[in-house]
Amino acid sequence: MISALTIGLFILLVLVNIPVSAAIGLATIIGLLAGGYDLMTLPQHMAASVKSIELMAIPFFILAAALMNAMNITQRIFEFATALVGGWRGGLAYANVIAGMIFSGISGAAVADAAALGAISMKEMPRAGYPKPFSAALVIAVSTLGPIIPPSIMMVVYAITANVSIGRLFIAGIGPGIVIGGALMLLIRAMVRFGWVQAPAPTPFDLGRLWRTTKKTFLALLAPIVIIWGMISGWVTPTEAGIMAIFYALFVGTVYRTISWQGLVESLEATVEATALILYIIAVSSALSFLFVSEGSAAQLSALMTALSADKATFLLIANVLLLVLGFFIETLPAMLIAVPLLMPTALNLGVDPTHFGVVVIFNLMIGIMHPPIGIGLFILIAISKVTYGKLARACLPFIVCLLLVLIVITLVPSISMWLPDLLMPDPGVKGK
Amino acid sequence: MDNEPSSAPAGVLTSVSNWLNHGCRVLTGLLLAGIVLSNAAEVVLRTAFATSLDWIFEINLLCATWIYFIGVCQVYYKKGDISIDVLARALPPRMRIAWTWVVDLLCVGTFFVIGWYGLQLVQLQWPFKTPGVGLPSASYTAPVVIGAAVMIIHVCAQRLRDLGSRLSGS
Repeated sequence: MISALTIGLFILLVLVNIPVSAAIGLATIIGLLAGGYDLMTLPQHMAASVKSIELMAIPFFILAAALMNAMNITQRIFEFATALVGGWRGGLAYANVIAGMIFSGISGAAVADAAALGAISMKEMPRAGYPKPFSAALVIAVSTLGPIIPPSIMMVVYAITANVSIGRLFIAGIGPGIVIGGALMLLIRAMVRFGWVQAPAPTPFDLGRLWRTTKKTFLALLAPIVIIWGMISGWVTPTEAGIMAIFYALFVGTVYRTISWQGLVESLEATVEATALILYIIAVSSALSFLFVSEGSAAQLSALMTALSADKATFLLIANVLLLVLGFFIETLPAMLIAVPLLMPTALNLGVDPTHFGVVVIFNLMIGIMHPPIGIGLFILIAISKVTYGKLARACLPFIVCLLLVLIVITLVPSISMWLPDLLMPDPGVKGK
Repeated sequence: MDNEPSSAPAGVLTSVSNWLNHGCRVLTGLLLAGIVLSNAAEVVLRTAFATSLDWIFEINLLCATWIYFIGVCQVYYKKGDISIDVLARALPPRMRIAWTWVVDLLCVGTFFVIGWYGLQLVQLQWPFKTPGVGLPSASYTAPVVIGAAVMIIHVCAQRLRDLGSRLSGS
């Protein structure tokens, strides 16, 4: 009862414009008071919850992406993708998807992808003749790949919350990332072919241009491979892979001569702010999780879900519906921090692989960044593109439908996520389930 | 970019808020650069010389904790926390101003509770040391308290500045 009251209060506080971290804190304080707990529990859990070496991967990956962005690497990646697929009708839209997939291999957050790609795409696509709402909606849809293709901030948080291997979870995102990218490209093809979107005539394919842009971008294209290889080989931990990504970004910037003192300082500042906000939300949410566990809510929901779910597939579909509903009201990170401790016991009871479940949860919540009322991607792209809320929300509809269909596929076919981690980083403890 | 005070009563608090923000920016930037370099050194030492820095674990966690809880003050200085203003924007202008006061009051109240009980926790933890380097355990909780106090100052400075500019405008 107290847990339900706390969640309800948190949703209400967020909807009436209380900043997310303060809303979680306030709802938790009221929940703790209602449950008769000592309020010292709150700062105690806040300080204890962030004392994790694994969580330090978050600032490192954010810094690596910020450095790449400050060194103009995103622009180079976009030019490479345009040279690669610009010859097709709707070429710039395809280029957006490809650039998004590559940039996702460097950055680990949807918000970073939306802001970085949005700044470039919203100049190039409308100038080429694509409708602004379509261009903005496409950028949001592509940015959902950010936390799916490794590295991923959300995956680090999920892995720590659910006690699974960060490395395996990272690798598990590659398959779904490719499927999502492919599905978005199929949707673009359909929209262009059936005239649902006005696409300008394609520019002829130019092998020379592709060669030039590949040379200009080659080192940046290697970044995701370097990061993943470092982890798979066992040479570095996921946290140290973040360090490797930072030094690789500095190396690329030095080679391209795009590194600057100002860029370094701005990247450090941007990283501190992005990291601090994420970790502060995690910190206050930890006291909320304590409340759920102490009140027995996780066990009660687990019993209810187990009673409702005859098998894994039913549970996963119910969990997906719950997460989609949650995504309507709560931002992705707090939604995950609330949902995972509540759903995980049932998932484990039913033999759902927690790594596969992580991919499903994260992708599900990512869809929430593009649907009203509180999709953060909508707000970022409104700020960049100046498209009205209503027009952008309507333009997002086909992408939401497409991503929901992909979500069902990824949910019901675990091998899309699991074949690669089982091949590269086998985990006997999980495979036996 | 500093926030300029728009009236005398808000001036002192705004100056304090600006100085605190400068301090936080420098501190967190240096700490972040420090943990990046120390972790890089750890990877190099382990790989090339098969040795490890035994103090690095606790120091890294301490620096990271300070980055998180002091860094969030920079977010609040810029009013950068995630918030959904769809319903608030639907309010009439005067109601919206009043509601902003309520929102800030609730934020200040929340940070006050975190800071107040955090301070009590710091006092309790003070005699205890970490097992490795022997740092006071309270040094991990202290940034929670300091961060809460700084955020209260930022939110109050913003509200007073806003009030000052409204009064001077009307």
